[in-house]
Amino acid sequence: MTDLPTNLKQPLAQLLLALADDKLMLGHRNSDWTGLGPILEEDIAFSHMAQDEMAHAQLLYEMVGELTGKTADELAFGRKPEEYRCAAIVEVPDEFDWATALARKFFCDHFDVIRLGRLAKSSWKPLAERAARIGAEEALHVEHVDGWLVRLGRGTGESKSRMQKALDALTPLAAGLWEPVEGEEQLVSAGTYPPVEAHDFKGWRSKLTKTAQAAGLTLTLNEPRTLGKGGRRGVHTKHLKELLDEMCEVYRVEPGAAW
Amino acid sequence: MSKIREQFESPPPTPLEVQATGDLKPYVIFTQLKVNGPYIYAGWLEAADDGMAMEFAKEHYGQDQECVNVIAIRRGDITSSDGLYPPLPLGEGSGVRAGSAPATQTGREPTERTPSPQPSPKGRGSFAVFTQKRAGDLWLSAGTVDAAKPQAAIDAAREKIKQAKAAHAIWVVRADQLISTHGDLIWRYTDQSYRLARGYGREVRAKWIAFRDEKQLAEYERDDLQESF
Repeated sequence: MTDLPTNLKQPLAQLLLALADDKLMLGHRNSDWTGLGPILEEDIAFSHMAQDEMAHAQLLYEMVGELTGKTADELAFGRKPEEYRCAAIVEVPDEFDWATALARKFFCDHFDVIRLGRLAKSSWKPLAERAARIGAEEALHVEHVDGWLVRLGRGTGESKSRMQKALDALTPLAAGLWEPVEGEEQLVSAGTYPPVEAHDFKGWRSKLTKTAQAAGLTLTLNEPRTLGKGGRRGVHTKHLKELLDEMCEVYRVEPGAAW
Repeated sequence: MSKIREQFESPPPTPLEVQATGDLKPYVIFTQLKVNGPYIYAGWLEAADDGMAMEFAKEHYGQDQECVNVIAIRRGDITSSDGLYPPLPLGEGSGVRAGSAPATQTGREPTERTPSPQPSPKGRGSFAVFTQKRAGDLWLSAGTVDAAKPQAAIDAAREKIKQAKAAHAIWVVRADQLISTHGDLIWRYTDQSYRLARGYGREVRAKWIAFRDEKQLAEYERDDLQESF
């Protein structure tokens, strides 16, 4: 299927915005570590991966643009906070704590692999092809962050306790990644965002828990019975506005400027 | 750094209690751009263990171009004909490295040792050979030789491998000490050449040409107006 039914355009735009907004905010947050990584090689790698997230976001915004008639820049920088669809976990600052930055990346990258894996099976081929390709890159991000979690968990008593503390602090926010967007059930039933075996909350939890166990860390993720209105419906933490005020500062001066 | 972070004045809540130990080790990275093609020197990096080295190698050198394999070599495993990297004392830099890669502890095997013939009873083994044609040139893989010791491998390479005969310098590494991705690679789908020297050059050139053309057009229009009116 290459033509998307009209009634699916709006829900799909919401789903892609959620994915793109997560990636843009995560990329923006992680780009703050450029020059500040714990070792030189990781500084470079972490910066590259932050740029990967932003590049993925741009690709997805362009797809949303095809559905809504807006440009990628308008979607990335020109919306009001309540029009963004990112989850709270990518909004909160890490306050320069490396373990917190890793823990956030850990939850988000694993979730992205799950989400992109589902989209790669989408009946809408243009989406399936792109999701499969960027999903492969995301799998490398997972390998990278898992390696760090294991190293810090198995490192010193201090590295373990700080990693554990970061995991504990972000675990309550992590489940918010699973909040459905408006109209998601339509996309699921139409096969645009099909359910895929092991690509659900339990599959995500299983992968996270396996790595945490290998690292000697504990992780307790309970499947949320209900997810109230959160980031996917435009209800955000105060941190998103702060982030947007900074990230969109130049765009707001001259919205149509070309670089 | 973001403005939000610039305003972050307080020190980290729990300063590091553990002093750095300087336990990072240097690795040299080679990339293979096509099947059966040579391995080409890509650069150096430092990492705590083989698994981390390969993660960095894939990230730094494997994703910005299409390539089929990446290998990492510990500096301590290289024997160089120019004496820059002499063999380490017996027991160091050779053989199995216990507990080096945490990834192995998770059950994953992100990196693998390149299979090589088992040393014969006389202790012979396969050595990978890398050559540099002239000082400053890129290092290239040149094949393998069987030898008992690194120096013998260099001598054998000089004698048997055409590429090594007139080379400025030769490195030999036991083949079972090469750390390889074995094709577990993917390069970036999105264009991020802006952060590479080649991409920066192309983009900046295009912008300067556009700027120059625009300036020339403005000058032409101004002259034209003066001549016509």
